[in-house]
Amino acid sequence: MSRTLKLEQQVKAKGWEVAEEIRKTFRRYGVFVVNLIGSPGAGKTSLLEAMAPSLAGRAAVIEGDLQTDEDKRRVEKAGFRAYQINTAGACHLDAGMIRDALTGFSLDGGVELLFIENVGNLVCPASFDLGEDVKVAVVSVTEGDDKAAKYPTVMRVSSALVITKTDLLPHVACDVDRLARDARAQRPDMTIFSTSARTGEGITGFLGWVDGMARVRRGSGASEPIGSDQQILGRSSP
Amino acid sequence: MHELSFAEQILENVERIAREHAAGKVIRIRLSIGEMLGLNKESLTFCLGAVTAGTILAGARIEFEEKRAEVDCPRCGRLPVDPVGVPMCPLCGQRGRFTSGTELIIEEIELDEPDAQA
Repeated sequence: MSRTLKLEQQVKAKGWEVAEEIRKTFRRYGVFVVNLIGSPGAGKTSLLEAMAPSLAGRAAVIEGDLQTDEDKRRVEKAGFRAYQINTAGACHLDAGMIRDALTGFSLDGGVELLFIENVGNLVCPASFDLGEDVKVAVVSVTEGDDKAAKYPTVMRVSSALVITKTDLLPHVACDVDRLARDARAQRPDMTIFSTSARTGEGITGFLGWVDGMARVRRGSGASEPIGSDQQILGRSSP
Repeated sequence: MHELSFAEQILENVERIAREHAAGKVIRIRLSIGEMLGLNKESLTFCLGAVTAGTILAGARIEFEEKRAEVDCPRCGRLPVDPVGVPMCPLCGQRGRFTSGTELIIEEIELDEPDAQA
């Protein structure tokens, strides 16, 4: 005897409750959280290093890598308080890993911004909510100008795109305008920054955007991630 | 591979409901997938196969239905849209709200019930 049940029940990915829980923790501490997503070698760590001098102890970093604490040591040397997660093979961070990290890592002592550097991967991290306020995609000019078109999901979920290594533009065939156009096809309100960690180009601009978003968040007191369906800020100029 | 985390949640939900109904086995599960989730059906089927092994969901037939992205515009009403990140009305460009295409829903399940009198 078989019976059919109509359920119409919504299913969320495992871990979304955890993401909501840690988002509340971040709110309680007044910490604005940025989830940096990009390919291996896109320049995520270098971007953090380039921002370090302007952040003067008010930002912390959680590093995600399969193995090693090399990135933690790099950003610590640059001046951040940092924590390393080793995923032992997993291709992305998930909310449970961030929750565990927070037990060994204090948000006290003037931390206003927390950067989570995801595992180098332009695909899977896009689908995982880490309790962050914004996701930011990082693409280097050396990867080619087709990346926004080829990896639409990460563009769709990111509030900003940081194009890195622009000092190499004379040496590589990368049409930055195409990259920006393809990104905005997925996300019309995407804010886009051209940066070079080496020359310092665009670093202040990106940092200003992060601080601006953090101010908006503190002012609004809303609990949804910025850029979610519920709350999306107007398009700002690149 | 976010399909795996969705598969785990489907297992958890269906298993609980099947237990509540004292079912011996789950024969069929019908899911509707919002296109904005970016879920790959083959991969979700594979993940479901893996996580349901040895459970009462093992061997259940999985049926899919795709839900197109739809935006609810305050002026123009509900309209299908391209699944981009911002819920913008395709007619007037005003910002609306996604009303479909963002969710994974267990529409129905078919259970084998050992007790025909139930």
